[in-house]
Formats: sequence, C-alpha cells, structure tokens
Amino acid sequence: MSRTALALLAALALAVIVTGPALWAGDAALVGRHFDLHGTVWFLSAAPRIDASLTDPLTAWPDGASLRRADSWTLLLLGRIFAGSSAVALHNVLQPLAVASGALAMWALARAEGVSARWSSLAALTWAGAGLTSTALLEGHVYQLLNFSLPLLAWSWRRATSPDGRAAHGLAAGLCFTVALATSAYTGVAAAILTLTILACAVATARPRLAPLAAAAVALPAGLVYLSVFRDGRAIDGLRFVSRGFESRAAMLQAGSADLVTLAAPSPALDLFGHSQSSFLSPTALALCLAAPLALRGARGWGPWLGLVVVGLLTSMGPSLSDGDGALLPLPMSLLTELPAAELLRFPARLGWVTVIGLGVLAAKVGEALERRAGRRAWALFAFALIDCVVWGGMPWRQRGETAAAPSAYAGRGAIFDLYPESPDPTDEWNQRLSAFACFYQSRHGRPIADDCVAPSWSQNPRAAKQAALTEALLAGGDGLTLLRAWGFEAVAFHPDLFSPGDRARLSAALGALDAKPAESRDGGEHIIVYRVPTP
Amino acid sequence: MSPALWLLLTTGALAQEAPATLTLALVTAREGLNVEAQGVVLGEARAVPLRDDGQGPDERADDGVYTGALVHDGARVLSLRLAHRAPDGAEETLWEGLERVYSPEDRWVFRLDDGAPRARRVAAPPLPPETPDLGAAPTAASLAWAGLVLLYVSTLLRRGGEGPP
Repeated sequence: MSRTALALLAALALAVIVTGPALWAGDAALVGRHFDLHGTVWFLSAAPRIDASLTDPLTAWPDGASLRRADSWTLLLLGRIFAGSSAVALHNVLQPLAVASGALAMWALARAEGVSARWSSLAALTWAGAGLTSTALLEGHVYQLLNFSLPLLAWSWRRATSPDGRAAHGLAAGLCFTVALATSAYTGVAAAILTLTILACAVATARPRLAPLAAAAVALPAGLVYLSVFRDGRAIDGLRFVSRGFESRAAMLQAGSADLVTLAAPSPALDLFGHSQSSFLSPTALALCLAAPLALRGARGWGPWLGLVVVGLLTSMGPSLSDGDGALLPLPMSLLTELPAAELLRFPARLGWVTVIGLGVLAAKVGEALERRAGRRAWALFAFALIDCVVWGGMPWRQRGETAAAPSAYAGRGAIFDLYPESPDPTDEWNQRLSAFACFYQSRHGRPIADDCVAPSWSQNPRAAKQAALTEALLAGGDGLTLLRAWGFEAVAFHPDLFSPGDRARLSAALGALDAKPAESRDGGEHIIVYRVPTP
Repeated sequence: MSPALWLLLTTGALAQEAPATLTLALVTAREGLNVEAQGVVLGEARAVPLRDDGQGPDERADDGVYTGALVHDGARVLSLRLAHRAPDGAEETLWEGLERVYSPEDRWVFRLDDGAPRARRVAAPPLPPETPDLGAAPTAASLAWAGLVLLYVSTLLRRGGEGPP
C-alpha cells in the first residue's frame, strides 16, 4: 500500500474517531450540539430549490428569503449535488469527510515541506484535534471544516512565491483562494491573512517572480464577484452590537475571539450554555513550536510557519489579549473596531486556522528533527498528540445526538406560522434557537414558514414582527385571523409548553376560535398544536 | 461502561424519543427549603420534589444538595421552574426559564448562593456547598499537561544526535 493510500485511511480513521457517531447516525439523529446545527441541516435541504435570484420561496413567507449572504457557497453546491438525499444524513456524513479531507491536506502540506510521511501525521493530528474543529462540529458549522483549501493554498502559494515559482503554482493558489472564499467568509479572510503572511516572508528572504500575478488573476475576479453578491445581502445593518446586547463593537468582537483561557483545553462548562467556542491548540504541537528555534537551528524554511502561528494568534485574539475576564494588551485588530464593517468579523477566533496550519507544519518539522537527535524516544510525541486530540480536546465525547424527526402535527399543506414565545433576552439567543427549530422542522415537513432561516439576528427575522403583532392580537382578543390571511398562512403551529401557564391558556382559547379541532402531536421532540386558518 | 462511551454507541437510540430521566440538583447553604421543580413535558405538567433526605436520587442527606428526578420523553427543550414553598403556602421562585435538553439522561445543577434571591445554573456536578468550585481545574490540568510535554521535549532536545539536515 502506498504512503498516500495509508495516509488517506489514517485520516479517515482519525476523522471517524473525532466525529463519533456522525458516520452511522444516518437519517435518524442530528449529531452535533447547538442550534446552528438545525440551521445547517435546513440549508442543505433548501439548497436544491434555490433559484438564480438566490431566493428561497418557502421561508420568510410570503416574500421569500434572500440567500445572497449565505454562510457557505460550497454547502449550497453540495446540497444541490445531493438533492433528493436526506439533509440530515448528508450533514452527518459530511462531518467525518470534512475532518478527513482537512487532515489529509495538512499531511500533504507537511510532506511538500520536506517532512517524512511518519512525522507529517503530526500535522494532521494538530488539525483534527484543534479546538476550532470541535467548535465547528458541535456548533453545527460543518461547512467551516470543508476548508482543506487552506493547507492546499499554503502549499501552492509557498511554491508560487519561491524564486522558482511557476505560473501553474500561482493559478493553483488562486484557485485554492477562490475555493476558500466559497467555503465561508471566515475561511476567505483566513486565506487572505495566510497569503499575505507567506508573501511577506517570501519578499523578506528572496525575490518572488511573476507567479503571484497568476494567482491574482484568478483570485481577484472571484473576490470581486463574492463581494458584489455579499454587498446586496443586508450584511451590515448598523448597530448590531447594540441589538445583540454588547456595549460596543470592540466588546462584540472580543466575545468572539480566542483568549488565554480558550487556548487551553475546554472545560466541561464550555458546552453548557448554547455554544462551544474553543480555540484549543494541541499542547504537544505548542511545545514543539517553542522548541523550534533550538531543534531547527541551522535549518531553513521554518520561519514562515512560525510567522503563521504568530500572525494567526494575533488576529484570532481580536481587539485585545484577554484572560477571559478583561483586556490585558491591545492587539492590531483594535485599530479596526471603529469601522462598521468590522462587525462582519464577529468571530475572530475562526481566523485561528492560520495558527493551526503553521503549528501543524512546524510541529511535524520539529518532531522529525527530534527523532534525528533522540531516536525512537521521540515517537512518544505521537501518543501525546493523540491524547491531546481525544482526551484534552474532548472529542468525540462531547458530541450529542437528538431525534431528527419533526412533530407529526406539521403534516399537511399550505404555509404554516410557528407561534413561539418571544424571549426578552437582549442577546436574542433563545429567539434564534427557537427559530432554528422551526427551520429544521421545515426541512422535514416542507411547508412554507414565516422564519428567514439565514437572518443574522432575530430583529431581521420577519417572524419577529409578525409574531409580535399576532400574539398581541390574540392576547387582546383582536383580529388574528385577518392578519394570518393577509400574510397568506393557512395554519398556526402553537408551541404551548414554552409559554407561561397564563399566556398558554389565553392563546389556546384565542386560537381555538380559529379551529375547534386542531391537530396535536407529542412526538418529534416537541408538543405542538396546529390550528387551521379557516378559508374566507 | 462509561456514560460518554455509552452515549457514543447509543446515539441512534437517542433518536427514539424513549422516556429518560433528568436529575435536577439545587446546591445551597440555605436550610429548611421545601423545593419543587415544575415543568411542562410534551404538554403534560409535571412537578417533582427536590429533597435532601438521602432517599431516591438524593445521594446524601443534609449535605445541602436538594435532588429530584424528572422523567421526560425526548423533549428538545423544557420550560422549568424551581420554587420553594414556605410553611404558609407562599411560593418563592428560585429559578425559572427554558433549558435545552442536550442529553436525555442528564444532570442539571443549580446553585443558590447565600443571600441571593435567585439560583443560577452551574456546570459543576452536584457537590456539597463546601466543596471548591471546579471552574478552573480543567484548565489548570491541561496547562500542567502542556508543561509535562514541554519537559519531555526538552529532554529530547538535550540528546546529542544528529541535528537538522
């Protein structure tokens, strides 16, 4: 068996270990943890029906939802390619495949940098065990892990910026950059940081030839197309940091950044409150990185990888170096926080992939150098890296599964309005979670719904205003029927368990006036009562 | 078999919406509480007492950990209220809110600090009040591990073999 085939098998095995039950969960269970999981599955289910105007006619009913600022064009493409298959099963299978492809690309990158096949596996382990990997899996952002283009970009761009770089290397780098941009906006920004860092190192040490121009010829038009689509997508609505409960734009960026605590192993408390943001880096890889100046003394070609580690850390830590409680030191991103567009970088921690790439390659190089010094004693480093991955990183033990069924009372035709309680929580977390449930259910029942499943905030979700008006009308004994007919809804899905007892009784009575014999179900993880809107 | 491994192997079974038991624990130094958890589970109002008597789900009597078991049926999210009922019948809400069910067989811990009007949801296991908070322990342990690895790498560095090519 060739080394590449062996590496492929090892990457797949590693990915299956890290993602746990995802591979065999099939269509029965949603594997992951937090509420974006539901939205991502919805996105895969909706992809086949998106038309050329990038509008989904079955959500944000009756107007339709614009997908011009879709989180991932790659995911949109995959959803279309696998149209007809179960979105739940597709999402589950993508998890190990995404992790395996990234790990394999890291292995190939380290090999291309002259590291032996054995020690290149340390780069793959660093990638698969990174906190960003577990974060993406648990938060339901599997598309963030379809970022194998980043290691491949590092590989081709290193070649393109070397003195013997050829146009083909530049074209390959441009293609990788385009794929990274399509994977997600954060992957695109990480690709830009990686590109600039490697270019700066190349300019500092040698004179690059014209190959980078070939990369620009591919990447620039792709970037301009992306920006023109994105610009029309309501990306910036102003004052979002206020509407999300933050006192300033800098505070919002800091909350989404890596800090000194999130770089350490995730504690059990991390997963408890609706998110699992970790920037954990393999301690073994970090120790090898610290040893690089001594272990690689006299060697060439490791400076750019150390540069990527440093630049990646500086950007992923956001506006300031923080211990999780308070700012310790301002960082370069603090210069950007006055710009409204800085809000688009709400999660600087996701730029940490730049660090992971540099760290993985550097760890592989140092590991190999240590083997030359100490022989097989250095092999213990593989065991350490594996322990980092599955013990300290906590995967797959942190994975969860929940029923992938939807309440059966949704069965039927015509647009249906989900009536949930509205949480006064200023961060809108609960409203977003309940919206995610409604969107996931839509992927199962297929009826038009009021939610805009790609709305970046609750206030931008058209159900927010409609629900407020409908609830007010129903509670005050007003004319909810006229509202529902004007909006074109043929049924209301009432989620009674989540209301206070008094509101539950009042709303049940008001909705009972619409339909005296509503459909009711207690399966699919929720109790719902569906009232039909009488036709005029 | 460890709970984590069991969970891993039975994720498919989790999708079957089978009845499952949530353990609710209120950790407090306040004495003489009469605590009840009230929830709505798939349309059915449920109330379970949280006791500190060493019976049933409560492991140890009078340790300041009031424990109860709430059976649910694979609900995604629960509306929950913890209340203290005074001898005169007056109810005091200790905690109220929606809670996402991440794992059917789970343990939710609430802590009512001395003098605080409301309990807060905490991530620690149901420990007696005098036990120190585990908050920073996992982070400290991982840093200690990193130190050990660094020590091992430094021993490798001291070996006098061939350096980089």
